Amino acid sequence: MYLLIVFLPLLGSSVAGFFGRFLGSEGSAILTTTCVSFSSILSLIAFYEVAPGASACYLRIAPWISSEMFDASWGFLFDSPTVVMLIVVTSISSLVHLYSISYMSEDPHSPRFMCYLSILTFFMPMLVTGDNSLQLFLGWEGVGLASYLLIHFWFTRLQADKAATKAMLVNRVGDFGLAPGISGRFTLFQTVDFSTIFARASAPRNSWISCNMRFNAISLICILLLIGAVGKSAQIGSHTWSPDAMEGPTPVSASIHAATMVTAGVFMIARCSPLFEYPPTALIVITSAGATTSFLAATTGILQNDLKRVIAYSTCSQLGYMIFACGISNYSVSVFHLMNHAFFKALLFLSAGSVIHAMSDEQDMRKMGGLASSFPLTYAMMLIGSLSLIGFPFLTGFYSKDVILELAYTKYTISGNFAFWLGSISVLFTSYYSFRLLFLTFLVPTNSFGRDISRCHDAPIPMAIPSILLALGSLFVGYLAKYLNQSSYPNFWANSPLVLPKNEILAESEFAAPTITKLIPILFSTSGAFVAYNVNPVADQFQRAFQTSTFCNRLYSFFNKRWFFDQVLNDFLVRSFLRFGYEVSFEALDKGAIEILGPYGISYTFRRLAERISQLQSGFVYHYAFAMLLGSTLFVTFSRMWDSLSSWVDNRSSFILIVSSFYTKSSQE
Amino acid sequence: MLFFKSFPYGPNFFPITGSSKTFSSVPLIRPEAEYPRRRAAQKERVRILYRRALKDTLNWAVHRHIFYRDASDLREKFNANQDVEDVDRIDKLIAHGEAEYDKWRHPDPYIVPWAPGGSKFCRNPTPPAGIEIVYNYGQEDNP
Repeated sequence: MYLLIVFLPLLGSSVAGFFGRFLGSEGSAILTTTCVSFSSILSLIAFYEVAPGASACYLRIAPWISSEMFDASWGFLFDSPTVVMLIVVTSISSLVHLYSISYMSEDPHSPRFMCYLSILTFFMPMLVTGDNSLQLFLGWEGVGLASYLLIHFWFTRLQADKAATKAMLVNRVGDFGLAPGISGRFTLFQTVDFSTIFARASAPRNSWISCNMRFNAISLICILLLIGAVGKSAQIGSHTWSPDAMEGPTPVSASIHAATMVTAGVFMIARCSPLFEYPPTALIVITSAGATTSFLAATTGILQNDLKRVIAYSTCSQLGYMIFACGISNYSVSVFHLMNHAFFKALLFLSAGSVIHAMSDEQDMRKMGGLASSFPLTYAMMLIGSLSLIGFPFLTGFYSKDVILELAYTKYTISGNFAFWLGSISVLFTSYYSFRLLFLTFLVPTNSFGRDISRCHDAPIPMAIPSILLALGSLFVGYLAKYLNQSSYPNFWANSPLVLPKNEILAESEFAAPTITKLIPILFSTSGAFVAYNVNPVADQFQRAFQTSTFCNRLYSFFNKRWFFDQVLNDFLVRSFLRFGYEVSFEALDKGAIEILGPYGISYTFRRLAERISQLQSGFVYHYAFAMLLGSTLFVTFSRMWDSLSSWVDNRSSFILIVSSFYTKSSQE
Repeated sequence: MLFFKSFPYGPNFFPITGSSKTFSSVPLIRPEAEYPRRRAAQKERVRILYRRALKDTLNWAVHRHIFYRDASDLREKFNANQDVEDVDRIDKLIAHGEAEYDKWRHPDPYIVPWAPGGSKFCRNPTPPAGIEIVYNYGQEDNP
């Protein structure tokens, strides 16, 4: 049963991929949706057995790599974090599959789309169920591949090609940290198996001193793993791929960028919590990265005009929350927020997809408005998702988001306080852009074209049902699963996210935080909603300021253009790397090795040498006389003085001088 | 810009004297024909600038009541200079207007989805003639 959870989506993907032409659009969609739905049902059963039943499952199937000391096997580990992730991934994926049946019905390449969605749903469980780093890395790369294939789905669009390549390459930059991290773990622990590594995580004391600073090996490994998580989970520095990935169809955004791929980084940190607990430096770096990301993404989202980009930046911001929750050693709360976030973010994306689908693929919010009466169901779904996102009391988001902020404050460290204040300001901006989205799309008088309004309709049943189920999740999952947060159910998580006693603050944070700090998130949310109401439908002074004040205009450009991260990275890094990749590694090394060392290169070199050597025959007697004089002088000198010169002269240098003389430009040229 | 910003024949052009500095392949243009030609070119520049500025106003002013007010202000700015006759002054005013437009231009302008740069451009383009897309292979008889 456990293996079916992982391999049923692979079955659906393979059949839809190879035989989709014969199954047709409907057949492929029904097959893949059925496989993923069964996987989702089985994951619920697995959750019941593993988590409340306190019966983790370890499956070792077959050896994979067995080479003396290096031993990796095909093994599957089903413990509490794994089954929570499996429920999230498979349930969201099955709802997205169902949604895509209707959303992609008019697309001629629908079977390929369903195949790619199922491939993603296969690799993500491979990632979360792996019992060793290598299998996790396999799943890691697989979800990266799946994201490339899905973003690249409409491959005739140049922007989609660019976005998919960017996603792949930025993830590769993160993998450039993850792979050395895995190698470092192997170097330190002589194994890639999680259980062995985590059992010995406290042992290593390797360190070295450079520039009067001590670097611990375990800190370095954790920071390398963090770089991997930064790339995958769109944290600051490697977040640029996430908004561009909105080039893919909306179900892709809901699946990858809400629930599945971007959470891989958070899961990896939670899985490796026994490693991360020991180096305090790494935890501070994680907290700072997460807090900065949540602030950056929230400020960028407030001035975006594309519906999907606003939600994409919201995802980045919430991932920042999850990462800094891990940084303050509350991995269980982070995974809980991951689960809650998956529901309301997928709901937001699917609702946005309904709007876009109904408005003839219009995505700009400036050309929407007044749609609440046209799409009452979609509006209700969007409202539920938005309220849950901003942490409206007693909805799903409230139970995890406010707890994270409370924990950050009661950590009573500089990094914790930094994270608390940046997170709280992000709450204000989150509320602002959520309500801005609602106002511009549904509530203000319409700004859209007549042709779109006349043809618009609410979501059909196959698109409405997933939205309704996700709305129920956005309303109730937080309350029903809030015991995932609490330390009163320690058997739920068992030892999976390990928290050292010195870092454990979950139990007392509720009482250690002053009441005003608990009210700050709700106050900021209300303020953000109030400002959004005044700015967008009512007051116009802010909009006028963007057109009259240079400072406001530049501020608008700064936030709208994502803090100019793309421009700076492109101008200072990407161009030079691309030039290196083409001129050096491709032209000079890959192609050049064959051209210079191959038949063409050899024939060209010898032809050139022959031309240069033939120039020695100048035809002038005084040239020949000079050559003879020079040669005889050198001969006499060296033969007489060889005894004293032999220790100073290297015979090889004479060869180099002779060869280099053929390449120097002659005066005649 | 669609229009060259400087007089194409250069400052050393003397059509009356037939100086050697003129291009021998370019026909001489009488000064009284030059003024209407310049004014026509300026009218086109103004028309293009006004259309672009109006579309850019819509990028900023999302709500209709704000757009109507801003569009009226824009029109008044253009109408304030409609009686200027001096062609050199008109050129300077147009250059100033274009600079103002560049300065306050919206960084994220609205583009129609199916236009170049839009979100739907080149998505599933029409296949070449003779290629038929089959949605349900083997079930063509059962629509």
